[in-house]
Amino acid sequence: MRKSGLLRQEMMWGYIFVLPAILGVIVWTAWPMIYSAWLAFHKWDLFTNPVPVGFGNFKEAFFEDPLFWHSLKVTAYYTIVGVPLQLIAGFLLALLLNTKIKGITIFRTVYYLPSIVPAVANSVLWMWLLNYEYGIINTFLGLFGVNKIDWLGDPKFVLPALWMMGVWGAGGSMIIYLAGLQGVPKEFYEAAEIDGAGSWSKFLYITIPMMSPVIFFNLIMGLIGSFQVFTVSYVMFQGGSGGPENAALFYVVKLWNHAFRYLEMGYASALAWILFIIILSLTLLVFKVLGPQVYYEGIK
Amino acid sequence: MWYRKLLLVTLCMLLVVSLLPVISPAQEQVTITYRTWEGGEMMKVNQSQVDAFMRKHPNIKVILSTVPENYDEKLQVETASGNAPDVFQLSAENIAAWGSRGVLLDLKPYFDASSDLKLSSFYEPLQRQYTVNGKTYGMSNAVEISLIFYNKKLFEKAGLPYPAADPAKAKNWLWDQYVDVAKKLTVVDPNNPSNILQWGTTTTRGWVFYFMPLVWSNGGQLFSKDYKEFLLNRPEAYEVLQKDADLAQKLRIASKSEDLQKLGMGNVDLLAQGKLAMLITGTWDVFSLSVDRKFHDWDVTYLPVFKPGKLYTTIPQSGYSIYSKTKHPKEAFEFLKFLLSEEGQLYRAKVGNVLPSIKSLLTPAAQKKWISPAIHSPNFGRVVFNYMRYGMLLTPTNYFPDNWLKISDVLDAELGPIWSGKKTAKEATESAAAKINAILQGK
Repeated sequence: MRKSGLLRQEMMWGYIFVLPAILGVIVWTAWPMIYSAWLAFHKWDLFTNPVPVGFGNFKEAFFEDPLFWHSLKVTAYYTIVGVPLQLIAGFLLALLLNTKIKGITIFRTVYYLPSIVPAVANSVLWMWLLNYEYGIINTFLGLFGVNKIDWLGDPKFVLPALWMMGVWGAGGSMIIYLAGLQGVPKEFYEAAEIDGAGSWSKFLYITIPMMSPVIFFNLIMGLIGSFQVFTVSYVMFQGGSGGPENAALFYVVKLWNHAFRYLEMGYASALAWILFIIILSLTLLVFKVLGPQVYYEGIK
Repeated sequence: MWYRKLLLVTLCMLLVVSLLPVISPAQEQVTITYRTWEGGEMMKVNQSQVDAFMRKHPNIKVILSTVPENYDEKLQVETASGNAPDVFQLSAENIAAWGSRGVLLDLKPYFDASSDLKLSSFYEPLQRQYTVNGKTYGMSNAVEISLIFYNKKLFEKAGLPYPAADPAKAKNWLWDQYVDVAKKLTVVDPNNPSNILQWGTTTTRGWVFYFMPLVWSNGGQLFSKDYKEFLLNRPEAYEVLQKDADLAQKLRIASKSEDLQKLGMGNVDLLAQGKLAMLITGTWDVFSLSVDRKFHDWDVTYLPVFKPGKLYTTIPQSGYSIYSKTKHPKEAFEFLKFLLSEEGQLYRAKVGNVLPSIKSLLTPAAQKKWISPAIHSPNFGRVVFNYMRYGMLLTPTNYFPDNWLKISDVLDAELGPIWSGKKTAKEATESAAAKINAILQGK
């Protein structure tokens, strides 16, 4: 059977409309990925031709480069504490902002605002908030008699400072939670109330299960984003220096150092692929462990 | 028919017009691109240099572009895709790494063929620093040396004589004497001893360009002569680092990084505002003090020495290179030569941005051409011309080898705990040695 002319024309236009996007993916994502996979098995200084080294780059990362494990540790630590903090902060905020009080939209806007501030501006702003002498955080802590903390100069406090920043930027996940909360059918709560459920029970047995796909989504996205953290360290600690005693030498910062400062693009590509595998396996692990706990309407 | 004739005539005229550029012997215009990282005030200086060049060479058009952020990365990507500018500013740290990979044009044949400007026209250590295995991959438009800037008023207030401008005296200005002077220049809040109102001395602590002259003056070295071994873990070296760290940590006569954070300002501001008596930094801060901050009550002197007679300084700087794949190497060199000529260099030297790198401007007789009381201090010429004779390069290879950036990153991270008082210099240099030796001897 021949397709009608109209249908074919529609198809053609459809392809034409998606063409820019497809081309974009091929040129800016697919091709660089293939190329970097190839580069991962080469030594390349950006200037001369790549030299094949087999698994040399991977061997170097795992067995010879002490900063590889250090940067991985820093990144993992940043993620393990930072992501749950952000999840909880975002969720609590969403709960608060889901109440019906006057001017709630203003509050929603205010709390969402930090997540549309560009990362660089955000970092510069926090450098001031965290300033030893004039920073609002030290001033605030001073009210409770806490001694001033050298947030960005003392290796012990660098990650806590960055966790705080993460919480401040929880507006992004908050907005998703909020949408999720508003999607929970009122009938469920009404039915539960008739059955005599209190607000705690309602939260535990209706809100949390109904929200679990959203929480799960935010967890996965947070995990992926957190492992790729770069801008904060780059802006706050002048380029790839990684902060005092490398306390903020995140994995991607190290990767960038190798790519653009040490002229080791091949090694950097290998690092990128190792990171990809790490993130992929973590995501799969989370899916496997927490996935069954997630409640999707109708199917479980 | 008249309209046919008209058509024919019009067509003929069009043909002639379109052929004109081909047949006319008009002088060929060449366009070259030039890249720097300098923005702000220095951008104007760059533009006036370019304009002056174009007036002299009407057939060469120079397009100036400036990239203040991520300069090296942008340039690397451009070279990888074959689109780098013809002439660009480049840090000396990149010269060997980039040059040996074929990115930079070897300037030696061009300088040899040049009648007015030779390689030997430049400050001697620079010739060595820019030459890698017999090839010259660039040249610096500037000499920067590390020295001490001091606030004259604070010396007067403390009733102390100014530090010496005479190199013979400076050669015997021992570390302990320097510490003594710094102690006298430190003012502590009488009501609160932890509050220091005026610091005696300071520097960007942990900066290799600053501490190496001191280490050298004690007989220490950064690397072995064959560049295979890291030597700061020897007593003659780490003792110096320890004494330097003690200035801030134990004696409290030099500011720590927390102190600067507390005050919310940089070292140069402290000096200009009379809260710091001596600052060890590089000659570029002439511009920061005299032009940016309009502060003139300063002068310069030599760094102290650990052993009498062992006077040293370092010469951190950057210069210009030409892209090896440039389509107009002759014109690019002509422009580079102008930037490096006496005339070209005076633009920067006059505003206090740099010391010139050309020998003909580095003599007491030539100082009138660029040293002026509005910008420079009374002793500036004398101290600088003398001190330059003691300039040393950091690595035994003269140029910065391929692995230098990696080593300097490790160095910063490993030595950091010395300046914050968490590790002794002995412990920190020991741990740095293990890692740096692995880089030096490996791969």
